[in-house]
Amino acid sequence: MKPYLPKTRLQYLFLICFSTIVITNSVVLIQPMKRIYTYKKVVTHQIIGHQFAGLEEYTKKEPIIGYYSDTDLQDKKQGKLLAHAQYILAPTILDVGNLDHKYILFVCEDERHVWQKMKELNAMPYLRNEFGMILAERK
Amino acid sequence: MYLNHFISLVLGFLTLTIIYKDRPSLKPALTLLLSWGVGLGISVYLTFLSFILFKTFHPEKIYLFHGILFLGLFLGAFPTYKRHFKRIPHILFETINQRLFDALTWIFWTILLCLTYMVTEGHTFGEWDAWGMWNLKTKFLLLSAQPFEDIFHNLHWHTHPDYPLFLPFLNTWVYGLSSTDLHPIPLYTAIIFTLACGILLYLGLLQFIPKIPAFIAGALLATNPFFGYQATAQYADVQIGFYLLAGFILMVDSLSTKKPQSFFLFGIILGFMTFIKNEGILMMLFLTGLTLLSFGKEVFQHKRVLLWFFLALGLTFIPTLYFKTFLAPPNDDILPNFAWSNLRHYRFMNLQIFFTSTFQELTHKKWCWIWIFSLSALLLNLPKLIFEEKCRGLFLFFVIYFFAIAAIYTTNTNISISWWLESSLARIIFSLLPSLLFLIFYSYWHKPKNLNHL
Repeated sequence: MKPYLPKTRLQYLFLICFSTIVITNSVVLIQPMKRIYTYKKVVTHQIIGHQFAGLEEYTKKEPIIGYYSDTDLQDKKQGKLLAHAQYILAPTILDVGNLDHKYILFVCEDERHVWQKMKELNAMPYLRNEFGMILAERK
Repeated sequence: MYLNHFISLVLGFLTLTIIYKDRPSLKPALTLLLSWGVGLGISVYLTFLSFILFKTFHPEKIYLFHGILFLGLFLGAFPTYKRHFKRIPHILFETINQRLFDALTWIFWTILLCLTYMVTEGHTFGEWDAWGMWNLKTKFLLLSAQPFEDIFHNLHWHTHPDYPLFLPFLNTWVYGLSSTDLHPIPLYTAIIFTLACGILLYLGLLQFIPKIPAFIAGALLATNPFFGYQATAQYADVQIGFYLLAGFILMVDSLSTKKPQSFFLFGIILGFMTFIKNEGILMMLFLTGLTLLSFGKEVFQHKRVLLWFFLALGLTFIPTLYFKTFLAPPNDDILPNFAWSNLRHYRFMNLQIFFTSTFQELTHKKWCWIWIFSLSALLLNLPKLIFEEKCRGLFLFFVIYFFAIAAIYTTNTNISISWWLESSLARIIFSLLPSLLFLIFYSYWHKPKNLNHL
């Protein structure tokens, strides 16, 4: 007995359809592979939060710091930036909007807002990286 | 990293040996894969326990708990091994299998492993929820000197602090004493589970139906490009897909054999599901209810098997209960403010948006037509799905779950339904795909008195 042979027409139809899909899938898989291969010629690996790289060396001893942005965090791009910042700087917690912390990370589009806010808070810049991210320390 | 997977596999295997003793109803290869799944769940719970007791990451304590449990399980399983020591080489031989078709099958899975790895090269850090939530929490667990409860109170609400922590604790356990960078751990976890879903579908169906259709089912799932992409996004959806599929397999096995051992293992898997995502709690409730319904009027005649089922479920549900009671804040997404006044202002437009989005998602070309063919296959086999006992339970799960999801989406007033559907619907139906394929292939090929699993 060969139990794997379909016994009804429905089973035959079923097996043919799904086998076709498997073959189609295998062929379609080539496209994302090509895309990934092309992508890797330009960027060796996915990069996230590069704007905050290096800052974690200065914040790692702080359990929690403030996070200030002059943009709307409901915006997808800004929300993504916050998520990236939190991931890179983890386990330091970014307390969004709460500036009652010794250190505050300013992520602003206009640097003038940063300086204005620092003046209000009596904070001094502690570190500024090449992407314009400023880590300030309150006195 | 692989050592910790092996430790979990051993723990799981010992557990299944104690459960089944001399009367295994599952085939060896399936037993091995389920052992790994059960073992990982146990390891996650032991890791969770160490964090509850010691608040921060203490790998030596986690290994100590594993060592103590291993000793206990080994002593419990030893009598079985002593009785069947001479059979172990035969069991291993049967598992490896030297027939040509099986050899080709394993070559196929090996090639797929390489392809899955290549897919992950496109997003080695995963997608948004990976670095925004799951891997972020793993980082906190591993690196923070503060108590781990800070995750639930101080992180931004985008990190969903109410979500259970199966995946972060799993990655924490796998990291173990590793001195390598954290980055590869969740990546390899995702790859392993992606492949495991396909293999589990194949082996699970093999328990009940012939080889070729079982293989086509596994291949259908594992070669789907969007399944591969979503599974390697480093989210918890692939884990819940895996354990839901395991639950389906064990539900069918339990209802077929009516053995307390099968029900016990089924209960364990359902308990683990509740700690993966909030949807797992819903899935557990529905599957439990459907299992009880399948007994019909004979439910009181099977008190003994149901006792074992609820015992196992109760044991593995305790961590989720503890988590939800003492650690996690309330969930704002699922039926918040369920007040009569809100229901009076229910917008039926939300229902229209939900059904339209679901239709668009299921017919989207990224799925390579798998949903169209799958749902068509279901419709063609509807009489069997409704009138046959085991198929009916599994089919009703999808119907009830679909309406539950519709209710949750359409009654939420906190966030825009369009945004929520766009960001989560694909993942929800993705996690159902392995189990749906199991139901379809099982309903088409199994015979009511199938002797394959004996």
